[in-house]
Amino acid sequence: MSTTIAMAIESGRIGRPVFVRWMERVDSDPGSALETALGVVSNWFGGEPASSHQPDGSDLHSSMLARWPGGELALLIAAPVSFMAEPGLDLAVIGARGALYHRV
Amino acid sequence: MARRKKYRVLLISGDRTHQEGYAAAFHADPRAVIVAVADDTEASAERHALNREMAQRYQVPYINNLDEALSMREIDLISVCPEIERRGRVILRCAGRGVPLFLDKPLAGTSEDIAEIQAAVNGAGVTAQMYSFTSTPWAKAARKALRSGELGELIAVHAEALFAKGRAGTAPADLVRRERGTPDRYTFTEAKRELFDLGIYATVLCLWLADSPVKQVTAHTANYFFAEHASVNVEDFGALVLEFESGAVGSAIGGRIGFYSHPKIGPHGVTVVGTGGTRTFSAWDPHVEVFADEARPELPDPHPADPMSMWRSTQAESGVPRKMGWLAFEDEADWGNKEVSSFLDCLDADRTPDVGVDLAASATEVILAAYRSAARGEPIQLT
Repeated sequence: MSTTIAMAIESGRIGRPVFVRWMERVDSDPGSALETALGVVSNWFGGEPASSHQPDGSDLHSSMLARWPGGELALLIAAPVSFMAEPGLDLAVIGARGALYHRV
Repeated sequence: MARRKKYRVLLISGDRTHQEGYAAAFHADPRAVIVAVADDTEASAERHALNREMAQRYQVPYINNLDEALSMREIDLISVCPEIERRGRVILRCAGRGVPLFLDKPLAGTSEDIAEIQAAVNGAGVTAQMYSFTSTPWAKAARKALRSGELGELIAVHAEALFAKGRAGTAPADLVRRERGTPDRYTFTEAKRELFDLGIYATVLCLWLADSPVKQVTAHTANYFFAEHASVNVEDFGALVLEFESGAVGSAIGGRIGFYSHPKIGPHGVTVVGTGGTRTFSAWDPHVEVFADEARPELPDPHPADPMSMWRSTQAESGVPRKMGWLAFEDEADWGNKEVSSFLDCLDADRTPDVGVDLAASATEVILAAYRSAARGEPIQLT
């Protein structure tokens, strides 16, 4: 997924990626999931964020609002998967003149 | 039990405001009848002219004097929609009339106006409702799921209202927005403050579902998409993180992302996170996807009086097409009617609206705090 999206971004179809909303449903540690998400998004944005805010999370939920030096933003959320449901991801990558959506 | 008569509706401000949608919804509801359009003498000549156009369309009188309009006996409710800069003064006078108020969103542009409106409406004891998305099928489904207990105790809520309108890709590529703590102007022909105007939808949904005061707001704004917004130094995008006194966390995003950036009118939805799991309620689920040998919708040249496609009249004049690739089971064209209908339902049942003046005030204060947070680059404490 991350490679496919990286390729789509590099193709220029959506323009410069400026915002990512990453909503992941997890059955494991949400903090680790968030860390992984931040790494993926940093790769798409071409570097580490300049600042971030992470509210007090819990064993079940973790979220972060991060800003990159070029003004790009990401809202990353890891939340518990519902009973009998599968882990999954609801992702929006918004570019300056287009967008990518991925949901699984 | 049959009601004795229709609600007689006075409209304050007319065309090229959100009143276009509210008026159409009141006109469509068999319980309401529009009796006049009015505005204050201080409104501009252009505003009066646009108001007259609405009055002519509904074949009702236009009154260019607010005191005169408010002295009419034949009014049962007022739909109030002046520009943000005049909104506080106008709502205060309308509250004094003592009839229910249907209020445009957001409530006002300054904390002083918000506090005065809240005090006046509560003091007058009138029913008031600010326009929001709480009457949409997806928002109602989210609240129903939360209240049913199926998701356990609320730990987080996320809401988004991104509008796929306008021709994106025109903002200067290297522009990194520097926000100002106190917006000094809201009304432009070519742009709107999108955190203010669209972020309010997502913020209201978070507050409505969390049902707890907001303790802290952290936010950023941006100029990602439109030269029009950049040229008047207002944001086209905003993102907030809300920390509630209950311990729950909220997140809200609002902005205008461009016509071609979504198969419908933009990402709209709510995600509710509880101790028992997570559910997303999207405006577009369920939907049918249609692929056919037909031309894709093309964005026409911008309307000179409304390049960002803010108003339904100018969208119709310039021929902005409706995207038909996704057919959602719930038609978004009906959201405005549902919201006005919910207001009339409250009046019929003598019930308090979901988004009364207190929630409206709280949500608008959150947005103003978000500007301060974005300007300072740090969280803002609210309580």
